[in-house]
Amino acid sequence: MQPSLRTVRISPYRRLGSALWRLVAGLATAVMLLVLLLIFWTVIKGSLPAWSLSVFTTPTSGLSGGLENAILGTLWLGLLTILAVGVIGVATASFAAAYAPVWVREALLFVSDILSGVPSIVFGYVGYLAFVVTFGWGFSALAAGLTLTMLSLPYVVRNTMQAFDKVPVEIREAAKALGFSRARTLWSLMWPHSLSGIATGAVLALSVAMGETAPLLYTAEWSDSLPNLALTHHSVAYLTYVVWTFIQQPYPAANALAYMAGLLLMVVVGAIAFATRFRAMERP
Amino acid sequence: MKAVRARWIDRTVGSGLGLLSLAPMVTVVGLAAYLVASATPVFRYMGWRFFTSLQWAIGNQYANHAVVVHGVKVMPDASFGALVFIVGTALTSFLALIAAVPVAFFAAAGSGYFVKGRIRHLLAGLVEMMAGIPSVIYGLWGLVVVAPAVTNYIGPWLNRVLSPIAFLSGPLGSETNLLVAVIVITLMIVPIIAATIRAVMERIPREMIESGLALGWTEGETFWRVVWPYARSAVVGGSILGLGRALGETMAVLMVSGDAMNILPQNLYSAIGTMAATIAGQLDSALTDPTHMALHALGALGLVLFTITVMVNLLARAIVKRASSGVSLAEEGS
Repeated sequence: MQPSLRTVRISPYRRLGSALWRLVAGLATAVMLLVLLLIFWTVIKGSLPAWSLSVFTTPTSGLSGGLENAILGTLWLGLLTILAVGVIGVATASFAAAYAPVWVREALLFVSDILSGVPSIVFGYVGYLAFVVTFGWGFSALAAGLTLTMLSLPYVVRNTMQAFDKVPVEIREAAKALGFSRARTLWSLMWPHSLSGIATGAVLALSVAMGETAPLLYTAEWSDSLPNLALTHHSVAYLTYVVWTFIQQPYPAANALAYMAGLLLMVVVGAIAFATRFRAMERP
Repeated sequence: MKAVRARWIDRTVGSGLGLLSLAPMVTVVGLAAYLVASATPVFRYMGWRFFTSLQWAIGNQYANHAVVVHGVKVMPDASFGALVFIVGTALTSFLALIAAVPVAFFAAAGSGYFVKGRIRHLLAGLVEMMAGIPSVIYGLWGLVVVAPAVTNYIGPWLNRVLSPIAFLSGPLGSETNLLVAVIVITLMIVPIIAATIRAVMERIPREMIESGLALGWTEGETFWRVVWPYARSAVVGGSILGLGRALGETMAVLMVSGDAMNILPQNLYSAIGTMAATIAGQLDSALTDPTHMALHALGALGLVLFTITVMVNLLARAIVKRASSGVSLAEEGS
């Protein structure tokens, strides 16, 4: 049979079907992007009355003032969290990768998955009972920091374990053949190779911690003053509290501060989220 | 000597790392222990009525004495029935899930399959950025934009269109209500579900898709015949992951759900209460109870929430893992 030279025509029905898929997919994506833009616009527009340098240099006093204490408090809690979660998370993943038998790695991932599913208010409730009451630290940076650490631990553990998995197995075998101790393998080979993965996990944990409200409500409470270095018995201010409380006040000044705090949060957290996605894209 | 010192360093480092890696386990055990310890007196006091009673009252705080009922000390007339919050949580989460899954699926298709190259990463990054927005900001936006929109536009319109159906129409009881909460939660979980689906879609071998196109299928047909079988279990897994997030969502729901207590919702526009939002919202007043039972009752709510969300989350991860490994098998086969 002679092959036909006529080109195959796609029937209009099939064309329409395909176009419909693209249309609905495009609509869904457009809706989500529209919502994102709308959220940004709402926050920016509402924060305009509060745009001034004094927002960064004045602490809140009651329901007005500036955001200096909240900004510094968020940064302070973020710093404590990223230090603690970085150390604990990397230690956990390193132990599983270099020292422990294989089942420990699976067990740790399982426990990590459990932790990542727990609602943040449950962390806040238990954090209150454990750190504020039982340990007697009161509302404090340490209570809040430890609660946030436990909350964001899964991100670091998972990302670090993935980073370790990417270390070529030949390098690890070579190290073993040369008689490296496990500690030396970690120090000289695995940690340097996985720095970018570890950093991604730590920064992700940081953005999660900075955006939390419910756990902080009952471990750090609120404070009108700037954070000091005291780790216990001093409550700490944080931006998410401003968003949560000040928007429900009948005073325009307070509402503007709430929007401003929201804008600051969105800018920081959004930049982090977007950047980690772009770094993932850069990898070959 | 150097070998001995190296071994000593090795072991010390190992012990240190091992000690620190107890942290996740200790956290989970600690969470469970505190929650169970809080919940036990509550279950002893309420029995099964904890799950069936509509009444949530911390008791008469001005009474002269606490009373002892079933061996538990409470203020008189205290009742800790969680049915309202369980219904509220279930309603918001499942309604949001039903709305979110189609949107997330098509958004994942739109940003993961139907576009190519740089735009794909840009769109994907933007939608995933939404997953990172703090929930209190969603609550802020819901309170300021969605709630008035529902009261002024969406509510009356839905009322006109759906008026025969009792639950979906009726008086707009509260500006912050079930519908607003469902809308906000839907928008919050769509990025999570979409990200899960897209992650699996992107791993589908290029050759399979190109083969489909080479056979003369349109893009839509290739999507349906090649991508969908792989994405199927990712959709299920991602949806359950989103469900887990919706169940535990606290701040956004607290701000837009209306904080209802002691009453079940009449229609879409009634205020509701969820377990997570109630724990956060009622903790302050629970601290005024001298018998601490109110505090323990919130812990009982927390225990129920903890159990449900952990189980849902583990199920989701198991399904997603199977979906990803299904794609890997395809890679090996081709």
